[in-house]
Amino acid sequence: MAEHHTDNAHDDHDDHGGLTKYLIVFLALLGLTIASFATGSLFAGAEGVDPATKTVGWAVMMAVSCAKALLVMLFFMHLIWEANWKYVLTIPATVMSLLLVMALVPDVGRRYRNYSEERMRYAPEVSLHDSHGDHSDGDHSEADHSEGDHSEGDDSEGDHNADSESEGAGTE
Amino acid sequence: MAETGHHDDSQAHEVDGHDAHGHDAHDGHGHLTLQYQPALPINNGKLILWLFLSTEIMFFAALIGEFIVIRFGAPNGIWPTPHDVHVSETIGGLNTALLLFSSLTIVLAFEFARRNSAFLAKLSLFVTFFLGTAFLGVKAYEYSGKFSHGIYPMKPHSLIYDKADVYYVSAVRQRLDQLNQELTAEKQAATEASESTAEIDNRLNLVAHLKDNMVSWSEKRAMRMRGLAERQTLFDFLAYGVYPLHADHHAMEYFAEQEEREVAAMIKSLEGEVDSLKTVRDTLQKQNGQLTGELKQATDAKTAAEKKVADIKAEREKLDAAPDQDNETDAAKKQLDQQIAEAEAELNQLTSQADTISQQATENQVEAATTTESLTAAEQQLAAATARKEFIPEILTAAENHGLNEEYPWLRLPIKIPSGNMWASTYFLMTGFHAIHVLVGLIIFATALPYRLDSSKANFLENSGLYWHFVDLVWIFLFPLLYLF
Repeated sequence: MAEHHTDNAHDDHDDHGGLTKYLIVFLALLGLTIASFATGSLFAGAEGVDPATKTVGWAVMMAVSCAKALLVMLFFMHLIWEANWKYVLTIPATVMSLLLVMALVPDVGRRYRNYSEERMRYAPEVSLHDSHGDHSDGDHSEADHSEGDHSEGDDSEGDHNADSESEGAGTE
Repeated sequence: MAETGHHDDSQAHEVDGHDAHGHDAHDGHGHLTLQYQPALPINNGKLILWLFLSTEIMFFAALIGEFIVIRFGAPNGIWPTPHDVHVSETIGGLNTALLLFSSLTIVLAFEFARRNSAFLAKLSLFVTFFLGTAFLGVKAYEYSGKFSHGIYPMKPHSLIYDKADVYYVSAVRQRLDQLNQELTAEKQAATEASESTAEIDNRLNLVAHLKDNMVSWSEKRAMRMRGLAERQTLFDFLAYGVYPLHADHHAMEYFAEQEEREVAAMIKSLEGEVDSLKTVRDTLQKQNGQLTGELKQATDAKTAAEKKVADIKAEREKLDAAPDQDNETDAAKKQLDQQIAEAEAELNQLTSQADTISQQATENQVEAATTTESLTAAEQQLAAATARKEFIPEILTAAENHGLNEEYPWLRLPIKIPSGNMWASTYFLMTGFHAIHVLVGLIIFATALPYRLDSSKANFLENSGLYWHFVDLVWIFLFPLLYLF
């Protein structure tokens, strides 16, 4: 054993790690991946699944992802055997990431929340000429929007009608 | 040396003239020498790498965070499903397995190097390298699949439109026109080179067919529609034939049924119109024949009457010019005058008759011309409507076979995927940056491969392993977000 200090791999690692541990962690990771895959295919990505089930599916998948991430960080990246400096580096980074995402939600995340159907039709395009002129004669017969006629859960503008009628468009 | 885990967070300090190691803190000359103690019990490389990884956490947090916000902030229910954008969960799962396995092997490489098993360490490193390359290969395969379907991160390569509106339809029209031009040029070149143009002809026919029955029909019909929703659905149907989205299936079938009925009704009324117009035209033609005959007769009669008047007038003049003007001559003159008057009256009558007939004939001709015009127009509409009626089931069949773009890959018509451009931007951004990081990791591994990986290289392997694990971490989050959500 070298007497010196800034030395490398011998620090802290003598009884730590080990092939069996790594293999077990790897198998756990595989198992979690399969679980995530199954949840996704059966519940979150499938057709005709109601929104509540979908949300639970998403939550499960995120939890699985976090578990996998923790396993990799703790064992493969050795953090479980490291000293307290690991918190100094990881916690602020995590907090800032979460804050970053949360900061985007009010403006970017909620921008479609109170959109009217008409604004939805026209908003994202940069129009070079007035495309609104042809229907400003008051003819807003959006009532028989045939896409809304079917009942599939994860669907197009039919669902959007439910929460966006701020202008009482037509004879809905 | 300080025991494992027990780190004095101290700089050099002395105790009784001896430093923490029990060495004499004074050098030979009695000056105080200070021993450097690391603040953290890890080597510099590891410390720096962890600092770097914190920044990488922020980097990917930004990308993944914006994806989460945009995806869940998309209009309700409007985000492409994996099937819509040709994302295969199985391939994503395969990539995940590859990266997980490579994470294992890199940590094994570190472990072997630490134990001085150089051969096993190198073997593990090779496997890691190979798995990483396989990951990139699979990703390249995925990307090429997307590109072949016209899904690119940005325009102008991207064929994606968010809505099937007039801009979309005009883009389809432009593409068809462009194809027409290119194919015509090709055809010319092929003819000059005396090659077969059968294939090119087929394509030209398809392009013309689509332009007439899909684009022109939709545009013209939309002009006559009053309702926005109807117009929208009509254009959606066009988009559906080009690139069907699973969610639109029922709506489009319903619409197709409706349209077939409406077009059938149009055909019926148009056929009636064509028939009645034909009858009118035939009647007019017959009348025309009659009138022409009558006109000829009238003109002939008029000419005869004119001649008669002229003859009588000539005779009258002869009498005027006669040498002996007596009562006989006067009486004859009077008689002739009377005859002239009668003849002229008759001439006037015949002239006016002829004029009337001529006017009638002209009116008849004008009416015939108008009727023929209307008839031609109606026949054209009828032909268009008939063609459209046959075309509707064609679109449905094409949609069952994944759309026209799939059946005829050379078409590359614009496609409609709601929120598709947003999806493409975020997808390519995230997976692209991730792939770049994987590539950098592979380069780092490649620099170590030529060396003998004994315990002196264990540090390097540990640190590069840390980087690689981070790349794997990012993928662990990307996989469900992009493939399963």
